[in-house]
Amino acid sequence: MTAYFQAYGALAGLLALAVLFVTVAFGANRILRPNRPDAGKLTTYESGVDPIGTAWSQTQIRYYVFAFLFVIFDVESVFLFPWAVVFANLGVAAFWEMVVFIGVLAVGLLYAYRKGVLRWV
Amino acid sequence: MGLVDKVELPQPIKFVFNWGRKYSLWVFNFGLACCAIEFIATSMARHDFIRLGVIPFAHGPRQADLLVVSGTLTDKMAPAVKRLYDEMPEPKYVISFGSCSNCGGPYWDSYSVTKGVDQIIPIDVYVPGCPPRPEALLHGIIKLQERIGTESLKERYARGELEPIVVGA
Amino acid sequence: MDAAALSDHLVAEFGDLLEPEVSYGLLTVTVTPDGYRRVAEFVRQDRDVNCNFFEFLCGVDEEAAGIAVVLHVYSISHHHHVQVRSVVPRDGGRLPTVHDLWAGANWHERETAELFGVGFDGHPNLAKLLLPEEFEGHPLRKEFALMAREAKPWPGAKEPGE
Repeated sequence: MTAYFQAYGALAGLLALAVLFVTVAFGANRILRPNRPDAGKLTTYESGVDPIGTAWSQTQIRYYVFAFLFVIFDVESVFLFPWAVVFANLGVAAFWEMVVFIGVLAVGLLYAYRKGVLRWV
Repeated sequence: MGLVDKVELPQPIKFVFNWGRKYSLWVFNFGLACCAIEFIATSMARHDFIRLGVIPFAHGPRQADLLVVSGTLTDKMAPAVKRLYDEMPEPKYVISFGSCSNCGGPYWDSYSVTKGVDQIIPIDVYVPGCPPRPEALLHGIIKLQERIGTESLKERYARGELEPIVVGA
Repeated sequence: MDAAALSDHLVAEFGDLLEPEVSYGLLTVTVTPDGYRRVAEFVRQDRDVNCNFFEFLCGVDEEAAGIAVVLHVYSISHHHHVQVRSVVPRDGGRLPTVHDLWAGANWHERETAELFGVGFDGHPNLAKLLLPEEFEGHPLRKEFALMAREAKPWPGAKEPGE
């Protein structure tokens, strides 16, 4: 039982160390750095002139498509990793099931390719 | 609650902090005219100032601690310099590079030139020349680094007025 | 077309309205402010002149005569330059704008307006371009006194031109 908890003890120690590190770094910085607040320091930066327009900008739609495809194939690889570890012991059926799974996703990839979203430009 | 500018830190800590600050100056280069070309030449291969720890082309005033004003300052540009200087976080240093930013330079009698950027912002180092050689800028940076190495930020802010270094004087 | 042929072409079109002058291979036609717009349009739109490239528009302070506004344009197809010059009175001189013929004239006219005090009718935005907004006076006129020189005389030995 103690061996079981020992692993978690190490994890808890690491967590505590991480929190301590961040606290000390930011805290020391906060205490030590010069603090001379000024209204001028809070002005919006636009090369020294008055800012025009809003700070919102529109991102290209292609970034959304690439992120979307990434998520799908990332989840697919999450399924592939544990399968890859154990499939040698599972027999041939396991192999063909995974082929079917990858095949279904490959059809999706083919659709994306034909739709032209895989071209960057 | 900054301690560095309110309390005189013990010498070892001050030494370490000053050492860190003087060898990692990030420059917000304010290139206005021909002196900007000399500044760029100083950052390039032959007279490298990056080897002194000075990194050019900060992304904005908020990521910089050194402002190098190189070139003629006109009346139309003056409010922009003031605002950008204000946007820099402490501790900040200013080098006035070239004759035009020191005192108006060869255009001192023009209707549109501000006679020296020190009319707008406080200057730490004056580098005279038209344009100054890159070695002069390196000299100015080294002198500034020597001063940063031995300075106490509390005294700097308490004193108010800066005592500028003039290169070559 | 070379400058002489251009000069003849323009005189053939406008007659007494303009005075041509060729100097170092460059044609300058002097027009009254009333004829300025017509000449500019002709220089832009006529097939043989076809000056489609705008070089500059600036003012020249000619003291008693007034302020001359010089428009220099170039033809990319025919490789010739033309200067159109018009003298306006010092007080309240106005010229029609040519920014619709050459888009580059927009800022040049703003600069001439603020530095010489020449008005441009039809210009969409004659705001100050190079001078700060609160600047008073027209600096490039000869009678504009330089404040710095008034306060402190030139410490050098010679004035330019001596």
